[in-house]
Amino acid sequence: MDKLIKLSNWFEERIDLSGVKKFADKKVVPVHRQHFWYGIGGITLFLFITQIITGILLLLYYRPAADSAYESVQFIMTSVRYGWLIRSIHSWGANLMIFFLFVHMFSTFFMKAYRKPREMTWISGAILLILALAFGFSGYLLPWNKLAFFATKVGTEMAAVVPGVGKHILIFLRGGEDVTGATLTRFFGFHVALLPMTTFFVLLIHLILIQAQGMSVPPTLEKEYKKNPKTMKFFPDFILRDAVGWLAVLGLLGVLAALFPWELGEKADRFASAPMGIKPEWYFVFLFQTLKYIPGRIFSLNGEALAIFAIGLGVLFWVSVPFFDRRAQKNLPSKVFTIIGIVLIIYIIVLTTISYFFSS
Amino acid sequence: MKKIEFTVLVLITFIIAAGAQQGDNNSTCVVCHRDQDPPLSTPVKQLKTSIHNNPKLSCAGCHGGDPTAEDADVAMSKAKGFIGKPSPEQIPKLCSKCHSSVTFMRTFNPNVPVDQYQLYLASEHGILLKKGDKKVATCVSCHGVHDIKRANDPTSPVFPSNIADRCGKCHADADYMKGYSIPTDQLSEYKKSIHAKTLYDKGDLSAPTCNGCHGNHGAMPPGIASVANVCGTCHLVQSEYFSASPHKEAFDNMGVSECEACHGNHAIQKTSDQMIGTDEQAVCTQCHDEGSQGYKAAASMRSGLDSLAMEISLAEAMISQANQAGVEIQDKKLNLSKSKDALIQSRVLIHTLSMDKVGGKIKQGLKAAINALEIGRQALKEVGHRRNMLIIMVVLTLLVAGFLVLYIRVRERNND
Repeated sequence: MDKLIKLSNWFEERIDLSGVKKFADKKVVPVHRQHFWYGIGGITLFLFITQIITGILLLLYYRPAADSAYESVQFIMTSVRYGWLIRSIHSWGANLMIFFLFVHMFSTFFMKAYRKPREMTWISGAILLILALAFGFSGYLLPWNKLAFFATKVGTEMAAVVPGVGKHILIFLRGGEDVTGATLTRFFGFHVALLPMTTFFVLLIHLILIQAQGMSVPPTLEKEYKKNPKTMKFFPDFILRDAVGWLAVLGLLGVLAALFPWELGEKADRFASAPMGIKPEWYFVFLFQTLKYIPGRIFSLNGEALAIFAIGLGVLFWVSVPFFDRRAQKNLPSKVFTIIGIVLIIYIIVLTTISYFFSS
Repeated sequence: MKKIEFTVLVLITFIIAAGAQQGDNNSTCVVCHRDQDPPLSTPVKQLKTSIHNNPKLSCAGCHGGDPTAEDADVAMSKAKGFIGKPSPEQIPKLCSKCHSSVTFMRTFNPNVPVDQYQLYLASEHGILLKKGDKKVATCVSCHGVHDIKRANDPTSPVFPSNIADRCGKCHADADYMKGYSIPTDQLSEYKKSIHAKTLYDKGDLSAPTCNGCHGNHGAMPPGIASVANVCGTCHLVQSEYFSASPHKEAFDNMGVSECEACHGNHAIQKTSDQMIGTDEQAVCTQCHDEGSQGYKAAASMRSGLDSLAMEISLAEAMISQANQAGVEIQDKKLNLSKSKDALIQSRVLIHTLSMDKVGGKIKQGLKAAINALEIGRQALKEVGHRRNMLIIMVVLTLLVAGFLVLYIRVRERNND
């Protein structure tokens, strides 16, 4: 302990950390019936950190080329000590991270945490979700297996329906007309350079905003909370509770990775026929299923293009929710937006279920 | 020689001249027939999609007559060479006018065969036709009449997947075949065969149909001696092994048809290991009595094949179990395919009747299968290791989490 204090003093003599210490001492988290949800963001962050660590370890062996990507992942899975575990944790971690991102997003949505002054926190969070989806989409192709190859082909084809620039976007994403080794190299670049760099900055803004503005108390509990304002210290009480959640998720990751190691599948063959029942990753499935119901032509316009345009508008609306929900801004209950959120969750669950269990 | 050249020259001149006049569909044949009621107008309609719809060819090329004469009686007069509907005995000769002419046919395709007529004359059909049998197949029986298509056109009756039905039109018709003293179940038998399954179900057009074994224009049932040659055109290795084996001489002496004796003919089935050995389904016991050297050899070969197949299936099951548990195995395919290849080669080597060769190959296969089995065992061991590691990790995580919860409680109590 003495050594620790000595080390701390050594740093303090060189860097003035009194401001940080003061902030940490003062920072509190509201305690109320729903404060459990505050921990979900921390779990998502923890999963993101595991992604960075396992991703760096995978980078030691992964080779981003059409003729060696699959083999390098196979090598990681079979010959690298605990390679199978690292890859499985990376794959399961990615999926869990997106799952918790959705949970975090909906919990903040229902708690109306996007109210003034936290609009920027909500927007930066929405951007982080989009970035996470981009991480998932680009990472899915990297093992260069059959399923990923065709899913990427279908996924990137959607970009082509955007009027005017669609074709250019498609060529930019694929690095050519078709999904080839050039696409793989490009996706690798997105996955390990462009996306991490962008995510780092947006995440930094998101975290700074959270620290600066503190946690939001939902409007429904605000009166009750003001009568009896109970708080807990961020350091170490909240962090300790967060750590329990992180450990639970780490255990879950271990169980999933050991019991259901992420499959590698067959190597991609661009001349082979597409496998039956090809589907994107689960978090895109509700959109994929939506597109299936859209007729080819709507009022003599391309149905798919219109649907993608509508989805784009929907995303824009979702990101801009703080500016539309005027009642919440005035700390009044906004049932309409709560209903919108519930409908969206039901829509996502129903369409995903249909796609997995009832769709041919 | 000069006489032949002169005949060909006259023939070509005749056809080209006729074509020049008729090819534009303005011949009096077309002009009159197209407005008639069926069946008189049918040839004009059918000709539109036929390979013979070509300016170089005309109706008169086959039917004779004068396609320039506007008067129907003149155009279709015997004086102008009109023969009407050619009789069966006229048809092969008529078709051969063009199809046996190298100089004429190469104007369409330099690689096109021109020996169909010669082959036909030597075929059972041709021989019977010469003897005056008008029921036998001629060119039009298989190829059609006015709507003749290229053989590689899927709508052609002689496209590979249509041939069996076309032959069956006559050969599967018991009434029609009365008097020929040959069975009429070939088509139904063939459709049960592995050859038919390959052709129809897999869509493999290289699979044999009637003409694959019997020939097409020179169609003839293969004799006892030539069956092996017929099968050997595709099953080359088996045929070579068999010819060098002691069975060759024995079968020849017994007058037994080589491949057919064990495998059958039209209804030929996919081979199985049950065919060899001393079981009820085994074909060896047809000739080899219990206790004989052949009987023992058959039993020994079967036992070798069975043990290899058993090892392979064990290794496959083990590897599949490990795979399902998520263990990727890099060398599994190599070792398994090595052993599977050896099993296939051993089955083919049965035709040599050499226990040394069959046994040697089985040994090779067993070695690879045992390797695969060992890989599978190691993989299952790895599954167990991973499970143990998981238990330790989960217990450790729960312990740390438990301590944290306790610590939080203690802090809460102290704060209160």
